[in-house]
Amino acid sequence: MKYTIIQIILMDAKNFPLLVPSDVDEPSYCGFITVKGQELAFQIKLENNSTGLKNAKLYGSPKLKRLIFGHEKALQQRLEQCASFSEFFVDLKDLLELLMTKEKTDPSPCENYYSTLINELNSIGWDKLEAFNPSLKNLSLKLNDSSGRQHSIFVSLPFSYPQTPLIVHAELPTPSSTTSNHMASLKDAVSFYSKVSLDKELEKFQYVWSMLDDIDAHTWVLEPCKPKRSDLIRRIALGNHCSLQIELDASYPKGECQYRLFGTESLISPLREKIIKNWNTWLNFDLTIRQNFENILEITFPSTQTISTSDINIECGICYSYRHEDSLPDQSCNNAKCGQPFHRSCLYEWLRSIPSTKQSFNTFFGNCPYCNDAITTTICDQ
Amino acid sequence: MVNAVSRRLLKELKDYQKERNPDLIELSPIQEDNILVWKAVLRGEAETPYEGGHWTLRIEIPKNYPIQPPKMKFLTKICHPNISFKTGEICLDILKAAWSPAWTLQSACMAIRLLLSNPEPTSPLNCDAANLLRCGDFMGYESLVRMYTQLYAMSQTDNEGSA
Ligand SMILES: [Zn+2]
Ligand SMILES: [Zn+2]
Repeated sequence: MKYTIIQIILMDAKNFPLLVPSDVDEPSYCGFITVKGQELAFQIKLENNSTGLKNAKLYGSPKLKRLIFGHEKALQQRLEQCASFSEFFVDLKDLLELLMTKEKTDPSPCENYYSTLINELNSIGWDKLEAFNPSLKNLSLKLNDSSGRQHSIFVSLPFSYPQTPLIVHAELPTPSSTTSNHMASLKDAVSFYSKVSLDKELEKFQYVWSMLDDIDAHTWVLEPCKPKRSDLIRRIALGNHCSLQIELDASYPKGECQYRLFGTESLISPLREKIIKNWNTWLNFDLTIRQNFENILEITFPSTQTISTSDINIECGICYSYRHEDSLPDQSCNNAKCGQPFHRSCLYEWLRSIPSTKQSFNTFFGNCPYCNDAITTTICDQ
Repeated sequence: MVNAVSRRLLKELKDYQKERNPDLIELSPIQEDNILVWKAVLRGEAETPYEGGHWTLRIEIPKNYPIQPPKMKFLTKICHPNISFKTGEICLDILKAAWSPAWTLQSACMAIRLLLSNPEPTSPLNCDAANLLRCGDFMGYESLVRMYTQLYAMSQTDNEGSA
């Protein structure tokens, strides 16, 4: 008898929906999730050859779709971040339960609700309507900025609309954008975001976005796996388990950024020295941030075509995960031929379990589990 | 919730399923509700007295795996100097002091398979088999092993095939 990964996790707990693989070659799973006595059909498609839930897609029945409207992006992101289906199903179930309770208690819309909305859409133009849910309670509008980048504006309409204002928000890399704005009409929302934000406010992000687009197009970005417009961090693969993390700051427009190198000390210390030595040559603002880093580091960032997956593997050699209790694998074996990354807490747990490990103050001296070379780590306070 | 151990085990399972290993016919959890107990089926190496045999192993995974090694033992009877005929217990350094998180369930199974053709008669769990080797009676040793392979490890294959 063969087990699929999913079957195993599902059997771990009774809460999870029954899931059956619908196709052996194209990994895809169908099932029902039971929420408040209702069975909702859904399907999860996995991308061939992809690891874990990266690039997994969630599809649902009309009822499920209607419930999760406006939460699709968050759910999709959750699905991709989750290490397992079970982790994801817990979230999905929680969300559906919440939405179902909300749906039941929602009063029916005001008298002029639909007619006002239709009039509004007529006046702003239906081409701006990106998506809406069947009850027309939530919708999203699309707007282009001066560089032609498309942005979504999310609108939720209270049932007392048009007596009470709309709640509007957009995905921007500023903390203020996460707070919702109240607007009297869709027209106001569109003009607010296109006049105020897209043309003026958003102008300051154009440079940062074009720098990020350049990084995404020319390097192997390890994190985030599907960057949003509001993500200003990129972790770039350098090969040999090493990586460079760049964080841009929208408020410092010209090329100011924070960086951090991860990987085997013997491989990254020459890079660190080059950055220190060449930092003053960062004068060429005609070049992108990526090109400036390539000049300073005297390398070309490897792309997905020029590097093998085993070479960029940055998962911890002990727990096999990338993110573990909110920490990243920031310890590496110093043997350049090995370079195996570890979480500090995982390496500490391992060294602590070995009788031959020596301790001096808060430093542990032992051997790399992979190549047996000397390795040290400091105590973690857990 | 799915903790770090389950996550690592699921990745190991996926790696095994991604690239089938002809020498390790099966490697998966035994029960649907417990990811900490697995079963493995080893294929005997050709041109050894283990040729043609299939051995089932039971693998118990500790909660702090891979800091602690998995507990592995033979369920199918096997005649080998370092494996207890009675209990299936295996004497192999990597399952004890020489364990490291760099090993996986799959690579540990392959190490056990390698042990079959490379016995270490100085640390015996099966004295009869070890004694034959120690006094240099290789013919006697091989015929004894082959007999037990036919007796226990080949009938089981038939059962599995028809099930
Ligand atoms: Zn780890
Ligand atoms: Zn190493």
